[in-house]
Amino acid sequence: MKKIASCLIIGFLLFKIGIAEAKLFGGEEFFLDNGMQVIVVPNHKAPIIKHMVFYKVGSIDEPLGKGGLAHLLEHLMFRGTSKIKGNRLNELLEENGAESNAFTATDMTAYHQALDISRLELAMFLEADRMQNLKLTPKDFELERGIVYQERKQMVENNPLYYFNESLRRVLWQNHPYSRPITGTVEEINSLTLEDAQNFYNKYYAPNNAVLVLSGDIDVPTAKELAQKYYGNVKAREIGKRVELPKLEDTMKARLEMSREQIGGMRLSKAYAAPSYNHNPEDIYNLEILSGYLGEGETSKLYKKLVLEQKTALAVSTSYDANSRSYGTFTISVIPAPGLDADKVLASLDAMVNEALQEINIDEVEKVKGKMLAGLVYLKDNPNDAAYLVGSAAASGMKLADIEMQAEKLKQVDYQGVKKAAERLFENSPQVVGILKPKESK
Amino acid sequence: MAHRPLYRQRSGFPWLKILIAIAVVGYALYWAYGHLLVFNPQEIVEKSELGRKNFETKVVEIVSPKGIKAYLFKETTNPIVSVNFLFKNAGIASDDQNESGISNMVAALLTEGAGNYDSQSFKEQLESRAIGMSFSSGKDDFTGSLVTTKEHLKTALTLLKSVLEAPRFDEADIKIAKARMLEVLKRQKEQPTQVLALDFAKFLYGEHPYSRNPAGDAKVIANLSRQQLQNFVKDNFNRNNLVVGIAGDINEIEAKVFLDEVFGNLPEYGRLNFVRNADINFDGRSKDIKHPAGQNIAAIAAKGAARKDEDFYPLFIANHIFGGSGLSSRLSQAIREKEGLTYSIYSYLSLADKAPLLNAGFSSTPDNFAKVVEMFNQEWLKFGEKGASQKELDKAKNYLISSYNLRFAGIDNISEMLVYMQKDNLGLDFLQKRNDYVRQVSLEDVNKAAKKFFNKQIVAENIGSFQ
Repeated sequence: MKKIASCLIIGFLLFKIGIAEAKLFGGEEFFLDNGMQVIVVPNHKAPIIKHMVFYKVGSIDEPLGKGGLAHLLEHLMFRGTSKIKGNRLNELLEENGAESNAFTATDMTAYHQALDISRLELAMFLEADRMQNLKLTPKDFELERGIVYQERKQMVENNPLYYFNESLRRVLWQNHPYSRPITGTVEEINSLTLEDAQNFYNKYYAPNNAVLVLSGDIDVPTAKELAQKYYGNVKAREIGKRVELPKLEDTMKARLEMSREQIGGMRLSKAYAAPSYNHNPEDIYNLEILSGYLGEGETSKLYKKLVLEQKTALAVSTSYDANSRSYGTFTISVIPAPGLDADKVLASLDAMVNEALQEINIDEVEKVKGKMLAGLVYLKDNPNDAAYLVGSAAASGMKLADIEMQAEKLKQVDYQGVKKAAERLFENSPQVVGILKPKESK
Repeated sequence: MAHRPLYRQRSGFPWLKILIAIAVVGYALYWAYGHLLVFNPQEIVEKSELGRKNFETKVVEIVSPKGIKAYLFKETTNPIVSVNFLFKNAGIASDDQNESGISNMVAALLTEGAGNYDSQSFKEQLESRAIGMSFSSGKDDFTGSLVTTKEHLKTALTLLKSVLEAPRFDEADIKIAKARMLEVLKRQKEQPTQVLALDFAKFLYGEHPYSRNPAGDAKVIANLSRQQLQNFVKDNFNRNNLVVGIAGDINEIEAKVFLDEVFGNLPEYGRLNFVRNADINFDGRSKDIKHPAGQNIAAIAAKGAARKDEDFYPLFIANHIFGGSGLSSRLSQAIREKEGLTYSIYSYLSLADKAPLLNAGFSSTPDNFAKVVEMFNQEWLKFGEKGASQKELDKAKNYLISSYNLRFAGIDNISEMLVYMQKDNLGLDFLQKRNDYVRQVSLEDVNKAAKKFFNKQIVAENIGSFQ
């Protein structure tokens, strides 16, 4: 009996270890009664923690003509509540050694602090407070609107590449809200009102529309106790109705050319509206492998073909983003070799992509998987990175179990799946070719 | 006689009672206000049960059998090892005048193959084992970084060793590296921030090598030969100018083996690079560059303090209060938060070996720019004249001390920190002592530093359109 029991225990332990290894981050989740999702990623390397609150609201939820509203509200969240007035929030976080910031994206808005673990409760108190007690004043509103106007001028108008990418998104996404700049245009920013911000806050800032991530030196029972203590009493609210996101025309193939005075060297890019986790949770792993195979790193197929063999490019890379509430995006970026005409490089790119797709086989796919899976342990290094990766995936709708099992899913991908996904992507997806050139001197 | 009329007693006690009642109710209200209505952040932090444990930040100095020294920080939570190292005085400022850009080109080419591995097979070795290896050339030093899983430490070691001992510099790779560097030069002026940075370096440093374009010189790059690249490695990668930091899942014995294997065969000494101190004339000069821009941008530099200078900590804290602490800094408060005139305005310390500086910068649309410049100058001079308050100093110290542990988030940060602890001679016990160094700074020290560094002795340059 004793022997059997110990065998069982060993078997159980092995099973547990197996599971633990399979999990990418080792995160655990639970929900508060008010609907708030909480994800805990323990990392006991140092007595520090990353505290992040993601709201499932971003620029795509803005009413038409109100571009920049989500971003402006993000700024206003630092301007005080009925309890913590004015700049007190920033002061308190600073006095307590927090690195505090926030960001707005198309699909989400997040507020985050990296802190010594002894200061975590303070950050939780403050974050829970501004989740429910934000106080907007006309003066703060005017000031902050001026600041986001300056931000847009700095980020976009002083950066021709940013400006080009913004135009590229407009073409690719057509009437889909992904086409709109997150900052809003200058005209939109100037037309926003305090009521707009207040309504947006009332509509979307609620525990039942938020994901709390605690990544660092904390265990799950303590995280549960503290999440309940600080966020448990925030009342759930009815979340505003989401805008219906349009379906794009699959046969759309667009081309955007831009020449700007400041540009010193040509860039080419191809962007595709691709499946996301929310569209097609299985296909995303095929496309992850496809991106790795085609253009991630300097042993990828396109690098070998374009940079080393054809010598039509100085650099080439691909990326795939599946973490979005609507479509995902697949991108190929090329820096052409000097002196070559854009169309020549594009023709070379198309030919080489085709050639690369012909060459996909089991060995190639296994090699890519090997590279993608070799460094998974790095994901457990920095609690700040883990918080961002887990939280942004969860906020765009990915289940924690799926976030944790991504490596396992990648392992299961076979080469035929990759081939089929590639065909669908390149032949039957909305796409745009972008060319940014220096302005030729007259 | 002793008898007092009753009415007197009656009329005497009620007002006393009322007073007592007012006092009691007042105190109760005051207590409730203080404890229930007004938020007490200190109480939350004090009552928190989290973080009551000790955190060991022990660094040991190891010396390998061949005499290579390094600082080691053992951290076994994850099976990862990170090594950062640098070769002192082998950076851009030490490039020969007629080889400007060579250190950058070497940095780009070191991961393009070594020993028996050509560029592609070398990268296959790295990528298939998720070994990260990178090199870069800074103003002063040439730096390298390696991160690997414990499992592949042996391979990582072998690859790094071959890079330092036998880099390939194959002609085909040199050609690509040159084309890329020339492309970088072509794109260098796409953004007004870049135009300003390049021009400001010239305006500030004059003839000193810090004024060089970090991407090098197009003509020189085009003509650099394989032999020159090889000479660079031989001349600059020596045991004498090497500094190494190792962090992660590696013990002392393994670390010593690593040091001997990777660095043990490097020559003891190499070329002696001498770069003079930059002799900058902070005479209040300024310059405007007319350039199309959505926002005008300003760059400001004043004399700073080196890491081991006695003014360092006072200036470090003064800078934090003035413009180093984000939205709560004086600059941000006065010009961004209260006036809404800019999105970013800041100051920072730069610690280049030959010219430690106190820098500042901001940007704003042309219509606001003159006002921001004026307000900046006012704040700068006011800070120099009047200094900081005790409250500001306390807040700054609280931040610097309680944020201290955040630097241990990533293993790569830690090994890099070990490198600079050695380069700057901060001592083996720096991690234990650093918070005391901050605590010891008095208000008088800070205000003395404010007076010494925040004054009219600056150099400034702006870019944009000016009215």
